[in-house]
Amino acid sequence: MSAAILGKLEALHPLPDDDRALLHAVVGRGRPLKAGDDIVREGERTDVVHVILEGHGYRYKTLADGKRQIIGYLVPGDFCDLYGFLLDRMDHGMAARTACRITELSEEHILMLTSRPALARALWWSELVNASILREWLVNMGRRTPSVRVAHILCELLVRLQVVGEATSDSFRLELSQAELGDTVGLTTVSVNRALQKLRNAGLILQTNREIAIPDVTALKAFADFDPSYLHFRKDRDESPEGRA
Amino acid sequence: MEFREIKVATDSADEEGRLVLHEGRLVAVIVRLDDPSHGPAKGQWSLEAGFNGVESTKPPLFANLQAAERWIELQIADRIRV
Repeated sequence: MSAAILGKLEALHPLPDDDRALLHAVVGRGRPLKAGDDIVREGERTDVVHVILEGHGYRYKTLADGKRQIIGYLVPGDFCDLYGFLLDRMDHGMAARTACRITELSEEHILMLTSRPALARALWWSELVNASILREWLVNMGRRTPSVRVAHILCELLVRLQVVGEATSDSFRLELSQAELGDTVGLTTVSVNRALQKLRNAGLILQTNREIAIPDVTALKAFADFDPSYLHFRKDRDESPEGRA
Repeated sequence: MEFREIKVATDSADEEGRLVLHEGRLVAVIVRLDDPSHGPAKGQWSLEAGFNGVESTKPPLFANLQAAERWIELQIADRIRV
């Protein structure tokens, strides 16, 4: 059950065997969530840290008029609210997009993990990356055209899912509706649909229902203005040729 | 409100559009969704651009031009009240 977390953290920082064993013991089997279930509601207090073991989720904020902005994707191995127990209440909500399995770690668990230098560094990395992704999304929404925005999100998902073994070198399953993509990149469903259509017509993606295949990953990344360095994965830092996909 | 026919370049089959004028000024551009990729939304009208209070980050789709007119009127009325 800890494979995705290890995949994610070790993509950021190497872990000694003892740390891997500890993480494995602490994570356990987790509990299942149904698609649509909240992980933590906006405004709620949480005294545990939620980690996605299986399935996909997202972070969101809801506006007074009911509109929703998706402000982050949660994929296996992601810590939803690391150190969230420090906050009086969560400033955003987290929900399961698909059926998920999540584990809950107590403050004591986190203290135990962060008392080990390599694990502490890996967890710091993961929080730095969360902030970096948010910065990239801000740029994406504010300064890129609709089809480039959508392409950028697809590139990010490809790379993040590869790290946890959920994508091949050139394909993955898109667990998002067009409406959810729209809520992510600030576009209407109509605009998202046209953007995807544009990517398909240009041969940059092949889409069968939810399966996204990318015939030329380099071409899509170039179109999307996608530079994976903001994800700070070791393979990009080291420039070693092969990732763990 | 006046609706003037216009072809809109969307790089798709959605090109049947209307310029929507209120008191002689352009307040919205709407387009009929004719591209089959829209699925169940096909045939409805979509707000492509709005001006001076008619802009929206998440506008509804309109079943017909009357529905579009009603919604645009509401946006304009809301704008005046603010």
